[in-house]
Amino acid sequence: MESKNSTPKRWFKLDNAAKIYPAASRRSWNALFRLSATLSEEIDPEILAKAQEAILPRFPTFSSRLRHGFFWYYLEQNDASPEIQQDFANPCVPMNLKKNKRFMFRIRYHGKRIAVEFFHVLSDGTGGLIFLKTLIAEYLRLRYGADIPRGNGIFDCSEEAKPEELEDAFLKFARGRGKSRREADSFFLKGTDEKHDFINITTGIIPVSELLQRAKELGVSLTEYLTAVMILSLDSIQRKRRKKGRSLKPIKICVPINLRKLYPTNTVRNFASYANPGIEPSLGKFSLEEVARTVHHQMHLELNEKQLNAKFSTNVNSEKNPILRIAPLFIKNAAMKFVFYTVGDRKTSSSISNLGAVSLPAEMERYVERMDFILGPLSRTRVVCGVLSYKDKLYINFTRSIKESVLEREFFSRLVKSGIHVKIESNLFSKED
Amino acid sequence: MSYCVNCGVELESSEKVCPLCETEVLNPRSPWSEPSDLPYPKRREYSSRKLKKRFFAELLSALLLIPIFICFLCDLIATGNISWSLIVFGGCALFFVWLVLPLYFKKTNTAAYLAAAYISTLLFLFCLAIPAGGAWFFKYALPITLCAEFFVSLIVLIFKRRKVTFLFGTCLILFASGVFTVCVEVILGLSSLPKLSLVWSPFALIPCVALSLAALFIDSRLKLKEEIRKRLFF
Repeated sequence: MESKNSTPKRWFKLDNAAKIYPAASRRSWNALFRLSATLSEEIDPEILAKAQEAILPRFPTFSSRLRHGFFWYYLEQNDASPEIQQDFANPCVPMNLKKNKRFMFRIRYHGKRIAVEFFHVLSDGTGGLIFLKTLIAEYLRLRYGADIPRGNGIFDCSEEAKPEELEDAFLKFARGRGKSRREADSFFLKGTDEKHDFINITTGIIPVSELLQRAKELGVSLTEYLTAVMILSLDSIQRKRRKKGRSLKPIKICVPINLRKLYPTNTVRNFASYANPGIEPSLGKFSLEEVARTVHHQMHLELNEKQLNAKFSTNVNSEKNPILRIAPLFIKNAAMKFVFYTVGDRKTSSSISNLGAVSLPAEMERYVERMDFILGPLSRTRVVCGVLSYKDKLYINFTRSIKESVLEREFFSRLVKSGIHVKIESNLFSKED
Repeated sequence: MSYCVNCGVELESSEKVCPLCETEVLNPRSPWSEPSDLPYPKRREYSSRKLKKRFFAELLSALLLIPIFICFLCDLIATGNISWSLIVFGGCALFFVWLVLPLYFKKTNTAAYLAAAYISTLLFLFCLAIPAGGAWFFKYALPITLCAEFFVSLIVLIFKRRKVTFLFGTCLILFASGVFTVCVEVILGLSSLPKLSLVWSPFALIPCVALSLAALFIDSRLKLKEEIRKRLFF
């Protein structure tokens, strides 16, 4: 006989974008990303643990574990308490879910910094940022008694989670008309694999105003400018490494696009699409102005609600396909692994994910000195880039799973040559030779 | 503040060499020294790299489908219907139950596994016997299989109940094998009762018994065991 106090565990279906991650995860690609905030004082882990405990009920999808159904994976309420961990030199190491008490995020601290690493099943960068901001707000409230106003991306933990925050926005807004995913393979950077799971993090700290000025001179946005510089850097590397008789491959950069700006949703789950602007180096050598204009126009073509809707509708159509739906999970996993291997990140040379300007309430801003966004390494793409700006400084974090830092060098050298001041920080000192 | 003379970028105080080009930081006005607060801790994390059992099981299962599919296809093309390819299917199914199915479970229940293995073996043999009328199944296959299953279950039970050394385990298996060969000859000779004679099985039984006794003898003599181990280790 069921106990009166036992309530069924809350559960959720994975959102449309999240479905690929458990299936396609492999040793070289674990779909992790990391958001961190550097405060003005050393972190107190006990207070951080209390802050974590306070915010988890507000984020029910984050306080869940991944389970196998017969047809699909799903998220189920996880009643365990995740541990606050000390940080490591090499972030975004594949998550051992068993050791992590089945949670798909981990909160780490080092010195004055709080970092949260997320498995992409839970959310995207925007959703992760809401989680981090709410965590920091709770931490500051508990530690300093700071009264942080809630709203604008900081949740009130005394409230219940709202249904619109947990919705699968892809399913809600897809209109059924899809488009082909066909694209040519791009040039990708090869190098010597780093050993023992070491990931190189190179951070470039740049005054936002200088970068914005350069972008404005070319009539493009900051993201478009950075994408253009990245494309030219890769182009330069490809030309230097090109073997005789081999043609130059296209260079494209994956730029995630936050769909929340186009649709009325407050979801904290995945809701992003992407654009792949790029150039054909076989047509000739492009100047920065030409690449920037090309990227600008390609982005504007893609940044069209109908185009983006068609893109994610293709994935939603796959999810709704009756034959695919009744296929057992192990067949779906095998199929998705195969699709990821053949398509995956082969279409782009690298990725720039820009979370934009992070704004915090004044009551919070005085305690938070810096924020960072780091992507976990991808499978074929060995160097990727996470960007955000905070307090007039742009933090460009390169993640690299190979030893050679050619792309970062090309990239930052170009910025320096155009008169932009760049400060570099890395985790190189902690690498064993 | 220091700058890389090669790249032109400013370097954080934690950087001993430029992360972009690995040029050493040489600032005569402020020689490099490790700062007290580093941006990243020095300790590294390592992921556990065990090959997932489940993935291996799924891979094997998928690979088994290949011969089944090819044989079905060849059978259909050659004969116009499914005939001999069913034997291939049965064999693959048997392989699956014996070796692949246990990989899907975190903990294997020995009794359940043995039961599944026995039933699947009998079913396979029965399916083989059907086209020929099924007579040899009940006369020979069933009793021999049941006999084999009896000996296997006995050995597994002994292994589970007590600590079994390598030599004692060898002794058990050899002895059981010898006795099993006698049982096989008896079963095969049941049709010629009452003139039952053991012809070939003693040639298997005697060496098996001799070797098993030798193994038991060595196992009981610690000094002899050590001496053999010293001379034969590799």
